[in-house]
Amino acid sequence: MKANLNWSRSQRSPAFLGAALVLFALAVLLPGFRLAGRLDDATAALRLVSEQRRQAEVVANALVSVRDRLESFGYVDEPLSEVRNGVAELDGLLRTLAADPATAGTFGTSAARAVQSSEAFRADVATVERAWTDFRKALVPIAAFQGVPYADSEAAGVQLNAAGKALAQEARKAIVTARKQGPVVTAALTKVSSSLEAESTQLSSYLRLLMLAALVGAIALGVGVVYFLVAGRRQAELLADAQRQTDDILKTVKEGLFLLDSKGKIGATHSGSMARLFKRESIAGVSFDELLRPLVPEKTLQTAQRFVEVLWSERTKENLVKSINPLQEVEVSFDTGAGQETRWLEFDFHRVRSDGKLANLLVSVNDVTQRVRLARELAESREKAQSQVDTLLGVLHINPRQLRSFLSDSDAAMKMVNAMLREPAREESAFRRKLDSIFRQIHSIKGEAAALGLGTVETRAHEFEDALKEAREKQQLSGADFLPLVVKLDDLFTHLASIGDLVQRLGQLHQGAPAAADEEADEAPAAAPVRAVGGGGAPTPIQIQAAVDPISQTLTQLGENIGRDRGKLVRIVTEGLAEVPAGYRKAVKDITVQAVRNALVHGIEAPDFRERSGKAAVGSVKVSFQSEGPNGFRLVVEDDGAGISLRRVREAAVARGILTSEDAARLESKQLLSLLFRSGFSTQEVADEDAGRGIGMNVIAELVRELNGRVGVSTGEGRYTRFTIVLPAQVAENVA
Amino acid sequence: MNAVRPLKLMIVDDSNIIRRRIERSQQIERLRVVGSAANGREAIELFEQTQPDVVTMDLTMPEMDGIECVEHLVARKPELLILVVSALADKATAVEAIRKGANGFLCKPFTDRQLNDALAELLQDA
Repeated sequence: MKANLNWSRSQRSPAFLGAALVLFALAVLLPGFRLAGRLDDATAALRLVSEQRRQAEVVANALVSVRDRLESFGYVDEPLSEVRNGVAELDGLLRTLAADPATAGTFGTSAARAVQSSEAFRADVATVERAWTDFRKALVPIAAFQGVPYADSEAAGVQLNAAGKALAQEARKAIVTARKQGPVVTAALTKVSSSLEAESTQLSSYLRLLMLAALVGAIALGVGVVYFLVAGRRQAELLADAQRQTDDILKTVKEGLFLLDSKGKIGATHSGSMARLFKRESIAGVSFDELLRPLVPEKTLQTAQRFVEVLWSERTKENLVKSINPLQEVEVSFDTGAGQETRWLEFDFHRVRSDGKLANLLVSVNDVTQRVRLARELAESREKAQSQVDTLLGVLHINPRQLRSFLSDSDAAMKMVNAMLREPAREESAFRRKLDSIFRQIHSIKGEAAALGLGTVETRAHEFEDALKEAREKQQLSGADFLPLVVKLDDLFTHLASIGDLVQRLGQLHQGAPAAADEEADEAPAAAPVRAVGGGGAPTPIQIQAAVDPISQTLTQLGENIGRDRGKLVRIVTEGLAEVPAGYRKAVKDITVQAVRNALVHGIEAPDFRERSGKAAVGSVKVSFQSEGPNGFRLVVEDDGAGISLRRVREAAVARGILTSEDAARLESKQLLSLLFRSGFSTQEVADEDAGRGIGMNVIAELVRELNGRVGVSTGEGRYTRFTIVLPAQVAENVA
Repeated sequence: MNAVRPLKLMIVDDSNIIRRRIERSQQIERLRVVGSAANGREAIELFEQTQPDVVTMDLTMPEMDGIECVEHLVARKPELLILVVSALADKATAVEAIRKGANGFLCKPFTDRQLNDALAELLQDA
C-alpha cells in the first residue's frame, strides 16, 4: 500500500515540476521582458532628452551669433544652420515626447509609452511644447532665410541688404523670445529628463527586484527539483527494496505460490519452489491446465478445470468453494526418466480482489507426500495391530495341536503354490491347470482356517481366491496375470508366518504351566474332555460325540463356527475318523471339511424353517469312515438338510452353457448330479467365504481322483444329501 | 430472512435418514418439508407440484442422476437453494453440481452439527 502511494506520488512529481517551470517562466520572464523593454525605452528617451536639453540655449546662442555677425558683416551661414538644426531637433524631440503611442513610430512608441504614464511628465512636456511653439514662431523666418544678407557695393562698401536687415530684425526679436522661452524649454526639458531618469531608476529597481524574485524562485525550484529527485530515488529504492523482499520471500518460501489470471495463465511472479514442486524449469506464462496435464489423470484434470471455473464465478461463496476443493490432496506422478515418482500435492485457492472485482486467483501448493504417507502407514499399522489382536484372539481358543497341524499343512500347501507359480508354463492350458491347482490348495487352507475360526486367514485366503477367480475369467492368460497372485501369496504367507510366530511365543508363555493339558489330551484321545461350546450356560447348539481325533475336532469346530455365523443349529457326529490311515489323513480332512461345509451352508436349513418342515430344529451331519478290508475304505458324509434341487442343477447347467435345455430335461438325476463335480460349477449366485464358488464339489472330486478313489452323491430333495467316497485299500503313491 | 413464512423444503434422497436428521435440525424452524422424492424423476414431478424454495439433493440416486436433476431444477427456478449431499470422496461430482448451480455442499458421512451448519449457511441467502 505504502509503496503504491509513493509510486503514484513520484510519478506525479515530474508533471508537477514541469507545470511549475512553465508558471515560473510566465511569472518571471514575461514581466521581466516587458520591464526590460520599458527600461530600454526610458533609457533611449532619457538619452534623447539629455542630448537635446540644451538645444534651446544652443539655438539662442546661434541667434545671438547671427545678430552679432550681421552687425559685423560676418559669415552667418554657420549660426543659421545651427538654428535650422536646432529647430529640427527640438521638433523631432517634441514629436517623440508628445506622440500618440498608437500612431507613433517604433522608437517613438516605446519612448512615449515609457513615460506617458506620468501626469507630471505630460505637464512638463506640454510646457515644453507651449514654450517651444512660441519660440519656434520667432525662429521660423530666420530658419527660412535663404541667400546672402549683404549687399557689397563700391559706394557704400559692405552693407546689409533688405533681406539682411529683415533678418537682423527677426534675429533681434527672436533673441528677445529666446530669452523668455529658452530657459522655460530648457527647464522643462530638464524636468522631463529627471522624470525619465526617475522612471528608469524605478524600472531598473523593479527589474532588480524581479531578478531577485526570479533568483529566489529559481532556487526554490531547484530545491524542489532536487527534493523530488532525491525523494523519487528514495521511492524507487523503497520500491526496489520491496520488490527485492518480495523476491526473497518468493525465493525462500517452501510453498508454491502463483497467481492465476482469468485466462487460466500463471503469472510471472511466483515462488521459486514452483520449479521444484512441479519439476519444470519455467512456470510463467504456462497455463494451469498445462501444468497439471502431465501429472494427473484426465478425470482429475477435468474436475480441476471445472473447479477453477466455479472459483471464477462470483455466485459461489468462498467457504463453499473451499469445501469442495478437489485438489486438496491430489496424487501426481512425475516421469523422472527412471520411472514414475508419485507425490501428493495440496492446492489451496484464494480469490484476489482488486477494487472489489475478482482479479486473480492466488494458488498455494504444498507437497504433502510425507503427511499422506504417514497417515497411510498409520492406518496400515492400526489395521495390522487390529488383525494381530484378532489373530491372537482366534489362536487362543484353538487346540494347539490342531493349530500346529494346520500351520504345517498350510505351510506345505503354500510351498506347493509357490512352486507352482514358479513352474514355467507357456501354453494357455498349462496356465489354466496351474490356476486350478493353486485354487484347490488355497481353498483347502481357507476351509481349515474357517474350521479353526481363524477369520484373518480365511479372509486372506478368500481374497486370494478372488484374485484367482479374476485370472480364471480372463479370455487370454499370460505370465503377467500371475504377478498379482504372487503378492497375495506373499500376504497370506506372511500372515501364516506371523501366526506361527504367535503360536510359538504363546507356547513359551505356557511353559512351566501345569503340564500341557492339550498335549496330553492328544496323546490320550479317549480321555479328552468334551468341549463345551456356545455362550456360558446356554444350551450348546452343537453336541460333540467322540470328538477325539484331530479331524473330528476340526469338523466340530467348523460346524460350530459356520453354525454360529449363519444362525443354524447342527449336530456333527463322527465315526471312525480316528482310524484313518496316516496316508489318507490330510486328504480325508480336506474332503470332509469341504463336504461338511457344503452341508452346513447349502444343506442344513435355518432352525425355524426346519421346524416348519416338521424336522428337528437341530440339523445333523454324520461323517463316518470305515474299512471294508480289501475293498478299501468308505467315507460317508450325510446331512439331513434340504438336499440338492435337481431343478436348480438343470437351470445352472443350462445357464452356464454346459447343457442345452433339451439335454438337461432328458438327463437322469444321477447324471445331473455328476455335473456338480465339474470344475467351477455352482448353483449359488454369489460366492461367499463359506461356500458357493462351485469349487467345493470339484475339490472333493479332484482329491478323490488323485487318490484313485470314487465319489458318488445321492440326494432326496428336502430330506438329505449323502456323499459316498470309496478309497482304495492301498494309499496311492502320488499322495504319500 | 423470512421468519413469518417458513421456506418450503423438498428432500431428494433414496433413504429416509437425511429426512429424519433434517427434522431434528434446529434449522427446521425455518423450513417446512413439503415432500420427499427418491430419485431425480420423482423430484422433478414433486417440484412442479410443490414449488419448494429449498432442496436437499443426494447425488447418488437411481433413475436420474442428481447433477442432471440440479440442472433441471435450476433451469426451472434459478433462485432455488440447493444443498447437495454427496460422499466425501466424490468431490468431482460436488464440483460439477456447484457448477451447475447448487448452492451448498454437505459431504457424507456428516454429523448433525455439520448438517445444521450447512443448512444455516444455505439459508443465509434466503
